[in-house]
Amino acid sequence: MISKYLFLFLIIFNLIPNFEAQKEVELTPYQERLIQLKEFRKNCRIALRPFRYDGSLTSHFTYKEFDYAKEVEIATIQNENYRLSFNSMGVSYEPIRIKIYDKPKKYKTRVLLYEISDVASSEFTTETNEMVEKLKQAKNEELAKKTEISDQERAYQQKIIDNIRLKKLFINYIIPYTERGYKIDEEGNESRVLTKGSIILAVGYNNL
Amino acid sequence: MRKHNLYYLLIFCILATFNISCGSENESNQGVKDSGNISKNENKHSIEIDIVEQDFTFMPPSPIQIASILKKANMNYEEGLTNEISNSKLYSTKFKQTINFGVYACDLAYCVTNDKFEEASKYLKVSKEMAAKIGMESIFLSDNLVERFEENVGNQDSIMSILFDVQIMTDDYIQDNDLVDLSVIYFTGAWVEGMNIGTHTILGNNDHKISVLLSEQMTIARSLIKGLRAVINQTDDLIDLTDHIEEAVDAYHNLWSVKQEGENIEYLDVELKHEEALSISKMILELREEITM
Repeated sequence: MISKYLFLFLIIFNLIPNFEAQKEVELTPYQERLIQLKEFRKNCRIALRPFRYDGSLTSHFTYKEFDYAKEVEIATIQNENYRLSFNSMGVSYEPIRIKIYDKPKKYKTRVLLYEISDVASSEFTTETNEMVEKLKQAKNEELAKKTEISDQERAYQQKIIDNIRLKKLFINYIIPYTERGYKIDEEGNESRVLTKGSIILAVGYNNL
Repeated sequence: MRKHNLYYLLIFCILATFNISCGSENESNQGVKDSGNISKNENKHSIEIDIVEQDFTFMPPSPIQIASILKKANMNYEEGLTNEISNSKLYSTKFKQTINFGVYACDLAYCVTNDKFEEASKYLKVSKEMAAKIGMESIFLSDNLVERFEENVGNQDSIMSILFDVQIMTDDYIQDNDLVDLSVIYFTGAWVEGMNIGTHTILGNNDHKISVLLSEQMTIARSLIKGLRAVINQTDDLIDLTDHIEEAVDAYHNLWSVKQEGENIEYLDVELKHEEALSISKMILELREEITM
């Protein structure tokens, strides 16, 4: 009988460390990062409400020794009002800037529709209705400067401006430079440290 | 009794051996953990992760939005416009499977927005089948999607909510696994199918809303071409499709209604003449045949 209790005790004694072992599953930094980003994306989508989800995009970037911009193009269709939800919780080093234009980088005449600086560890939204108004304002100013066009042409241009809409948006993430960092491994080898960040954009449209 | 004791002793020895081996595994895990912490401390100012940075990033409208646009343009559901379920057996290459995953996703959304739940259920299943072929089956396995769909047949709000779940999980899967190339091909499939459904309606309809819709969708095509050209694995199928989409886009930009708007085309809804819409429609139908046959 005693041997049976002893046996039971030994079984329990043996199983406890095994449960402990199961709890100690290590995640790689990459896996940890993916889980984090998934959570950020979820929050980013929630911020779209009451707009209807259309898509999301996570942009990854590396800080370099010079400023540079990454461009994301989004299609806005059917003249709907869109909400853009940004989540910069994945920007944990130097804050970045966001600029939104009506045209891609290669066009010098593109109109700046939205701008925000010091973007890091934050969440915010903006909507395309405000951007359309800004575009109209810029086009009206441009038209006012044209003094050598006929009244008929001016009226035609004005009609276009009144009916203007945005079919595409070009979002520029401006990544500031950072000083080059180095690390030395156990064998004394020096290698460059890359600092990275991620910004999430979720897009939703007015479903009414 | 003695035999029993020996038996217990033998089991004890086995368990003890097992425990020791687990213990040593724990120790080695601890070692990994420690070195992980060291590396984390060392990398206090860096997280070195293997996420590919893309030069080209484009967010096209989702298949659900394409389908809801068709609905808003007063297009009634027409039987026979969607891709045959039986065609799924024809798709043996990854390119065909991926692009038709997009086609079926658009068909699924088209059926749901038109309350055709029986058909929608079939398209959900074939989408799952296509997803499995391209390694994305997990999207449909989580949350019992197919079962939830079948339980809610008839309830459009619930079904739409399930479709959005599928879309969100697809987007997340693509981003978690850096499948940007796959997503461009998938969206191209959905885009072609949306255009196919739209153009069929144009063939027998003079409604200006549909021609505006067609011209609007053509503005997305340029970005899709850019995305398709950026795909790393340029197969013959992919190159041909990209060339053919480009031909359709060039033809569209040479239409009189488009040309007369000049630069303003970027900002305005363009109403095509019926014969102009027909000429583009023909090219779209050829594109659709190319990807689904």
